[in-house]
Amino acid sequence: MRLVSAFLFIVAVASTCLAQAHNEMRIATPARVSAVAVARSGKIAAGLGTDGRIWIWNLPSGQVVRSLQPSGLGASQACAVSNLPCGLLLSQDGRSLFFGDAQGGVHVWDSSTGEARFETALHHYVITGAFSRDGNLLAASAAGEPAQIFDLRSKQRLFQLTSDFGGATAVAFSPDGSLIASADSDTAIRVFDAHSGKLKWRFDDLTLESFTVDFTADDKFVIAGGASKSLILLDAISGKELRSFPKQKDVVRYVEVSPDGSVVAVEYFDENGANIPAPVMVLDISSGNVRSQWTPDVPIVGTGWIGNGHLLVATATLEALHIWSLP
Amino acid sequence: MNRRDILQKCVALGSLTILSSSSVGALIAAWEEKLVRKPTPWNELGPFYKKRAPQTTSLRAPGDPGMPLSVSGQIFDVRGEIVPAAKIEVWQTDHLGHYDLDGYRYRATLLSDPSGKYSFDSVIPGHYPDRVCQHIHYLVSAPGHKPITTQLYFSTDPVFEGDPDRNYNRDPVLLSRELVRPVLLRGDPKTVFADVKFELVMERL
Repeated sequence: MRLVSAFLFIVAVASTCLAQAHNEMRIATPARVSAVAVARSGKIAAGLGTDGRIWIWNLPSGQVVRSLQPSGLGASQACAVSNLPCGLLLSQDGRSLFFGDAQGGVHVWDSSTGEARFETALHHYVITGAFSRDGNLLAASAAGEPAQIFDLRSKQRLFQLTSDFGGATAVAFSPDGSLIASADSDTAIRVFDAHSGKLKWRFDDLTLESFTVDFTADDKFVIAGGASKSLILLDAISGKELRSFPKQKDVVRYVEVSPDGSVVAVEYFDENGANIPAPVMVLDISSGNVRSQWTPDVPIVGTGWIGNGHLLVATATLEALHIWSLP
Repeated sequence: MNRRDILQKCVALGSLTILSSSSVGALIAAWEEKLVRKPTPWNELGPFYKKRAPQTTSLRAPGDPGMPLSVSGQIFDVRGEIVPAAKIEVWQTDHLGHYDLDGYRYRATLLSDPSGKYSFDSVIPGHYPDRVCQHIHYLVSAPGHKPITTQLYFSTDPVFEGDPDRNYNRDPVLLSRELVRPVLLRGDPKTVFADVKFELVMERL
């Protein structure tokens, strides 16, 4: 009996790697950074300072490319549970930077020149946003409103998604650009045709809202998570639930599928306050097993996969931004 | 120029002819009565809305710590007509600022009665760490009406320092002073409770 217990203990320890993250870089900052977005290219990161400035850094040098001062508008108050790091988002190639402000302003800049590419205004403060993988489309949602879809080339609004009430908490484009997934405050997960805006299916079995949603790299599955502290895997074509991942201690704030599609990074937040450190985990999508997990000493301010398959995790102190690599 | 001014000017200039025995004043009053109430201001739904909350008017269980609270009100539409059988979902933290995500503590579904009235018993919610003010979430729905998502706030919240008129916007999510309701203390010292009225006004579809 004792031998069996010891064996099970060893298996349990071996199956969950409590990772020690490697500190990749330290970037001195003039003010505390409250949110960081990392481009999939791994060459650029952007951060929102508590001084109201947005900073763009080259990676891995950590050199400042430029800083932007959004016209006196603060970040959305939805930061604590938004899937976006306080309304800040980089396109996968890092060329476009999105910021949704507390007054409903939607701003897209060219990250290399600092020029405004697109500006519009939503009804309330901005909750969430997403770029299509090619960076040509933008989904943005204000508090209480369904997401609006914009074509950044023509600068036109294409259509608005739908929800019963409460609006969207998170949106994501499928990698092939054909679908848009929306996690909504009414607790539904919806998938729409990205060309027409027509609803393809809705999943209504959740009782609590999801705060984040993403597609797998092969476009076949949708992953969502939120207040239930768990993830669900849905068939992207039918909307049927395929798997529910084990419930964790904390609320799911953000999910991002790895570039090769085998694992998903899950950023959590403590329901008792976003200032309490909470873990980031890497879960195997096919089995649900925890590949690795790490809880820093301070709250995470951003998470993102880069092209070489490394997960970068950002934390911040008053005077510096720390970027860690999770094995 | 308000609606009354416009109507009076139209009548004076002959662009509006009244084929009725009623006076101009009475007709203006009747028209104005059709929009006698302002819709309840919007406030964000979440986070932590949970579907299928139990139908109960008692969110507070016997022995629950915290200041007992009684909330009551009436549901109207913008024309001032009562809205019976409206579904009112309410949820809040416990007195320490903690939401129950696993179960349904401090969550309820209510129905307005034939006179549009509703009420429930609870405790004054604590301060949720990621929000500035104490609040109760509302989601109100009724056939033929636009759903209301809003929140109820308390004039006694220490954040307001006794002056909600001046300080209500210390909570950046709180966009309307109207949502801060007066709190009356009732009962004797042993049974004292906070009494709050919160009227809700729905827009028609």
